[in-house]
Amino acid sequence: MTRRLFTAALLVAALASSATASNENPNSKRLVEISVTRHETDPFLPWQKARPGKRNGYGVVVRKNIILTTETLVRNSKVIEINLPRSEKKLRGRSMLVDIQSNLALIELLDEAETLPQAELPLADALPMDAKTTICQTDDTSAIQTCDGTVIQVSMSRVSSASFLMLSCKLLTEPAVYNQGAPVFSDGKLAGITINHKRSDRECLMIPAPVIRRFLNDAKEPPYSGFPSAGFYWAKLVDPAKRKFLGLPKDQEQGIEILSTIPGSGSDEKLKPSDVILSIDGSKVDSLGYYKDQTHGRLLFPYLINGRRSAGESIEMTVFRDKKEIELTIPLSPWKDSMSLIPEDHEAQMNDYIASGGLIMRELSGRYLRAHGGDWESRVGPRLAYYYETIRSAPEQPGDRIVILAGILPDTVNIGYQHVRNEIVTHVNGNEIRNIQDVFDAVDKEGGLRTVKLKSLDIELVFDAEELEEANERILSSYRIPAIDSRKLEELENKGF
Amino acid sequence: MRHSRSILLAALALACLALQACVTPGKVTANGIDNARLGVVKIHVSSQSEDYQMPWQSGRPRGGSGTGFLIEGKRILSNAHVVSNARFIQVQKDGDPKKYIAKVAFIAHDCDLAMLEVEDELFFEGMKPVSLASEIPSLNDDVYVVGYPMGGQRVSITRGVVSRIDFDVYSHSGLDEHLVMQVDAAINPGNSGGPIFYDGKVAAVAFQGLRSGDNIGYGIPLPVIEHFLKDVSDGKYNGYPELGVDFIEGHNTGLRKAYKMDVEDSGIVVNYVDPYGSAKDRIKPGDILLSIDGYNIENDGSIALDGNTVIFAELMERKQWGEAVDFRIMREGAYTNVHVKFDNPADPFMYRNVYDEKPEYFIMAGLVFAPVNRALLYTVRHSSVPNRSQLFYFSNFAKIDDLATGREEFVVMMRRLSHAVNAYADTFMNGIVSEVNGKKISKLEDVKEAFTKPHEGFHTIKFEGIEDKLVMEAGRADEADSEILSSYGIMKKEYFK
Repeated sequence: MTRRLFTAALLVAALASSATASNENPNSKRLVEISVTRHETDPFLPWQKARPGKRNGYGVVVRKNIILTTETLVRNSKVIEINLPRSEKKLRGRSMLVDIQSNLALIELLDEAETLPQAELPLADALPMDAKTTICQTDDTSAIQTCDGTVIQVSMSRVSSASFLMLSCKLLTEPAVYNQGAPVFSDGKLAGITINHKRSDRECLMIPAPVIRRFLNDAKEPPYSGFPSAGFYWAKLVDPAKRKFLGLPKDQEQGIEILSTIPGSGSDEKLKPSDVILSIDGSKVDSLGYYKDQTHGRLLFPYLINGRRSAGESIEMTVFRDKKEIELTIPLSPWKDSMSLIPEDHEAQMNDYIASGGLIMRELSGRYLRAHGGDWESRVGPRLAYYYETIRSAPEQPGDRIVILAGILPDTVNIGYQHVRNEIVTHVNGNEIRNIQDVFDAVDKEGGLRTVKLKSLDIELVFDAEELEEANERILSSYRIPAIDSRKLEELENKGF
Repeated sequence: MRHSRSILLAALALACLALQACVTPGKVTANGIDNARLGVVKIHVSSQSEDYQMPWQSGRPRGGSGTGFLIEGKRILSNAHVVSNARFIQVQKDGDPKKYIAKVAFIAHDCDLAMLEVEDELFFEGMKPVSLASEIPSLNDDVYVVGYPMGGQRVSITRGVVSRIDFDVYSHSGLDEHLVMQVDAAINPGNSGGPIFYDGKVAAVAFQGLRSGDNIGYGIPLPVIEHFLKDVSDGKYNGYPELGVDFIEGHNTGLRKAYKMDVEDSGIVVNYVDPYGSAKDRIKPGDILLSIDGYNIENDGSIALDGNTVIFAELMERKQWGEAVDFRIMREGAYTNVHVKFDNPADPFMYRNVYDEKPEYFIMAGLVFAPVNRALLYTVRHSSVPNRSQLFYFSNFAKIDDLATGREEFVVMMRRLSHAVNAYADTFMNGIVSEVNGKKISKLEDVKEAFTKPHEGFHTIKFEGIEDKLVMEAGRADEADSEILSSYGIMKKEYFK
């Protein structure tokens, strides 16, 4: 029995290797396997780490010691291991640059690997519909496997956890794609890397070469500026009644409607709600938001901004306002998650907290909300869910955040308050709170936490100065908290505790 | 509520078998149960609930049965949920094939009790009213439950002890909390409205069970029954009054110091006063409630009542609407007395289950507007419908976040009867209407009124938390209106109370 099985396995291996050998792509040598150990702060106990996890994917060597892969793969990485196909050897890598918006990342190889190509990988031009590509990945024996992919859609879609539309290609593959970051080749040039893949229907989304080219060029000239955004929310303008209401000419089918602008963005104070954008950069935008792109055909207009322009540039728009057409110039700036009232914080950067009196106060983030699990909306309550859904990107003033009392570590000092959790903090020591820095300042001014006002309570939670000091020591030691707030934690870390 | 409590109403599913003829009636003689049996009746109900999804018509009629018992004065007591939305009610004595027509004299949805009357004097022949106990039994006292539960046609008796006396939610209204008596005697669908006897007298009315537990049945205990009987003695049911305060326990030393509470003072600190409660304008946030009607309030909000430690709200359980309580309070460091008369108005922002009322609605151009109600909140709870978070936030935080200010109720666009005129309204479904044609919407009638005044030939509808607005051409909307009503077979475009 053992013997028979053994021969069968041998046979399969032989077949597999002959298959790859027959259509060996010279660029397939650039394929690497990437294994990432991620380690993030615990959103509920921000002074400590959550359990580490592992993620696997692929990458492609784009030039000497530089590997291109997806941002979602290397996000929050603590250790990056690079495996060469058909080799047990693990090489060390380091995350060099990540871009959430385009879901692209660069890894620097820290160990020598002579077998890897050193020349710069040529990038393909934009792929038309029905273009044939070759995708490189490894099978379960770590042998390189290539598969065919046909472009079945070129569109603007969400390619990352950020809610941005970026140019992407949908491929129909044979066989299925196993993981993210796999390079896709066309005529020996890099045509894209894979992101989302569905094994069942063999569909796979790819970040195409034009986006990669912009990313690599941007990366070559630090500082990295990122993909630009105009900073407005819009809606389709199909409803004939709405078009008539806005006074648009009857026979015209152009234009999308502005709903709101993001404070601090290029559109802020330039575009107004109910403005109708008729054309951008000379291209007419139809009522669904599409325009005719010279290269890619019918495409959603954000490509005119993040595919054709760079941050720091401006873009011309023809806008229909008060029944008249006007020309506007909108400056473009890179989008930053940190500008939001409730940032997503995918990179787990928001670790600021204060735990005085056992009250864990921190800024609200998308990561914190989703850490409550699949039913987070019901767990965090309707108010936070509503804020996240409707006003998360619209701070009243730049720098505004929502500070919450995430929970309370029970101690005698906070008896009577302990049931409070996921509440919005409006005042600390009588000072209005717009972000965690305000909390730090308010506490410093009084020499400690005295009162906390919450949105749901009409009275303040009060602490006694003397009692609090003792309590804080007690809380730190019994809950094993290294520092009462994140600033002191940083000091400790810098000293190398 | 952690557990789902099932209402014990038997569906009329068991076929009448010939079995009945073989059983000799009236053989249960020993230990006083005969008396009990002569006062207990089966209630046959044909009911028809409203269809909140299509408020212009009613739901399907359905049959059900429950139990009731005769008390002095030819009155039959049962549960409100047995006879809610009843179209036809009959009562039947044990061993008597004749069913007598009954009518609801009083129904109390907030405490799940109802009183029925039978016109036909013949019904009372041979019946013996049961008497109410003079006091609520203690834990571990023997009780027995008489009624007509599932599993047979004739009267049934089960036996057990009082397991617990507690304060819990009555699932019929879904919101109100009152005293409950938990027993381990089997209580099953059909037992609803039947008496729980203690020492030959009625100590409680069986009304709900716990699906997930064993031998957990609940009865409405004597104090609640007596409250109901006293309330209706003037010919009208007013319901339980609401005090409308929320509080923080008075344990916290920091809080006590800040509010200058003496060491021997005990009490609770008011943190919220409900604008629809009796306490409004009489009690303020920051007041410390020290005693109620002479009963000292402990730091956790409990009082010693009849030798039991109970939450102070339980004392208010004994109050009728129109009566009053006297609080001793501390306000801004000084002791004072506050007289609170229970005169609170109906609260349109409390979403109880509603019975015996036709739902209000208004239809315009196929858009169905209705006040927010519990049935609507229930239907959107488990589905990912648009604008769900707005609806939950506004309904849950109406008063706390001052969203209800200037409004008599929330009006929601709850349904769209498809027609070309409203083809683009889907993204606004379940939205809370804030403005129609520039008029602020405070109640459903405002919507009707506002639609009579289109602005420059357009109807515009704005919703809470939605930047976009819905626009219809006034002429086309008016035209479509009658067309839609007739094609959907809707006789009435509106219903207002």
